[in-house]
Amino acid sequence: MEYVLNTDGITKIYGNHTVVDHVDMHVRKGDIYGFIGKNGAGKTTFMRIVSGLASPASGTMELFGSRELEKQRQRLGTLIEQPGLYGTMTAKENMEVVRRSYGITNSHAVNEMLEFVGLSQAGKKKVKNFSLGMKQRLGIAIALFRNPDFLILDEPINGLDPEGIKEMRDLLLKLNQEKQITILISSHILGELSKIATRYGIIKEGVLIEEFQAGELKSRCRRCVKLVVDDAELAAAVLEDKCHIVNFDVPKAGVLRVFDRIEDSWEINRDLIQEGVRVKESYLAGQDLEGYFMDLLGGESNV
Amino acid sequence: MFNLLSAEFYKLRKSKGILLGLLAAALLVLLLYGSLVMIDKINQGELANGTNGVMVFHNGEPAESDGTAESMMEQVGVIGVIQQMFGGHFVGMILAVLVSMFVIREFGSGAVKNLVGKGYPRAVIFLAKMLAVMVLTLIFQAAVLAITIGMGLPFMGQEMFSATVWKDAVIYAGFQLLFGTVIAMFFMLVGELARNLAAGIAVSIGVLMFSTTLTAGLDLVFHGLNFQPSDYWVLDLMSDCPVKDFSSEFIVRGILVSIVWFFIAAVLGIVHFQKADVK
Repeated sequence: MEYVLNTDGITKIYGNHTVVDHVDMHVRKGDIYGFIGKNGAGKTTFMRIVSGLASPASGTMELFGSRELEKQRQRLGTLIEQPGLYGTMTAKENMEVVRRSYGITNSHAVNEMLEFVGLSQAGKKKVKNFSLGMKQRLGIAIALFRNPDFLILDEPINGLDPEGIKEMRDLLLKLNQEKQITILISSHILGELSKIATRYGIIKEGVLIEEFQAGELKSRCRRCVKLVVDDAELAAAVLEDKCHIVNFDVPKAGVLRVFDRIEDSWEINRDLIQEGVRVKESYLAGQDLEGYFMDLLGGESNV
Repeated sequence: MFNLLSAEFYKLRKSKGILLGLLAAALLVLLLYGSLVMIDKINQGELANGTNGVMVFHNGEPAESDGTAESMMEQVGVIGVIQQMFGGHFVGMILAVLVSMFVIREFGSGAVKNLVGKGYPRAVIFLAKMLAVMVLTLIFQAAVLAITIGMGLPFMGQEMFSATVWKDAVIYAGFQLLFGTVIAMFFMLVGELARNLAAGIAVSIGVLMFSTTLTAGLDLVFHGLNFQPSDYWVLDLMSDCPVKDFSSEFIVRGILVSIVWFFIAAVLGIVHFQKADVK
């Protein structure tokens, strides 16, 4: 498996507070990696470490399979928190500063990139007078300026209107599919993220608690009968032998999810009780993406 | 480095801060020359003492307007006004604001993140900014000199203006440019450490205003050792720089002290920026 980003035990400590705690992240080539966590979970700090804006207290990382990070970071495009812009300059002047800094000799590149992100009409308007969406677009333009192989985007759709969100989604898909750019993206708008992400990483209180493929997420969100029992092993045996159900899983101790015969849940309960299983809870479950993450992250709405 | 400098100079060209700074400096020069004209007119009895709030005192007493007093404009001359602008730290204060804005807006939470981690060593990013600040400082100071000299002609008249010893003025200006550039490096260091515009400007102006008081105090402390710390602090040299009869001791000390403080500011800035997190 070819990894664009592979981290091992990345940790960041501010004072006595561990903001990023031994994160092992694996972003594969071609992934659109949705990075999910509450505010303050450590997403931005982790992205800043990967981008070279902050240094980790411990841990190692490889970019494009190499530990020569300074060199490999030239292949990154980043938009972390607010884009770094000069408010008193126009979009074109901002891009001109970046063009010169990166040593891009093609002076038409500025106009082409502004056209690409839909800012060619911004004219002489100063960036300080831009809407949040326009600033985000300009930030994306800067991130894309050197044709990166790996884009790191921290909340890029924040502040965009619905049309802007759709445009951003289409742009990211286009970059991923046509230019094979790998993308690490964090967002609070999980519905949007689920439309483009091919892989997810969930961070909670600085710890990366799970990484999984988008397909796996769909199965986790399927409709099911959720059973909370005293003896999951016995319950599993009853489901197989008596109810003839094989399509179930045990996500954690004492909890079973049954995906077949959902309409006959009363019969499942009856059989379990008859065989001596104490059924503490039994209910129909089936979550949307947001609900699933809420459960995973602790049930609060601040994802 | 060349790419970074190209971008830095482009930013300088686009910056309106320098023009605003020069406008402020021109107003100060105008005020200085205007005050001298008023004083002379009061001394010569053309205006009453106290006109427009300008009071002239001789030996603690309000001056008699009998027309016998020597021309203040003649006594001060162009070099005196330059001395007031530079040695009085008027230029330094404007530079403190300009440099802080140029550095902190970028290093605080701004566009420096478009460069850090993009293949340039941090030391190179810092050095490029430093060179740009040096150029900004030199251009600004040179422009203030030109304004001060240029405005002197209409106020003093051709005869008085021609009497200026230009050789001394050039040496004095050269020293002020050197000291000013070193002080600008300190403003940059403060900006890099503070990363907050208000704090950066406040600390820089604080250094400008109070550090010489501190060195005066240290002079007293070290009096017994026959050692004067103020001889080795750039702002003291800036204030105490003679306008004529430059001793070789002062020339050598001035250059060496400037070089040492320049490197101290550069090394501290680079070392801190190497390790600092960028927001």
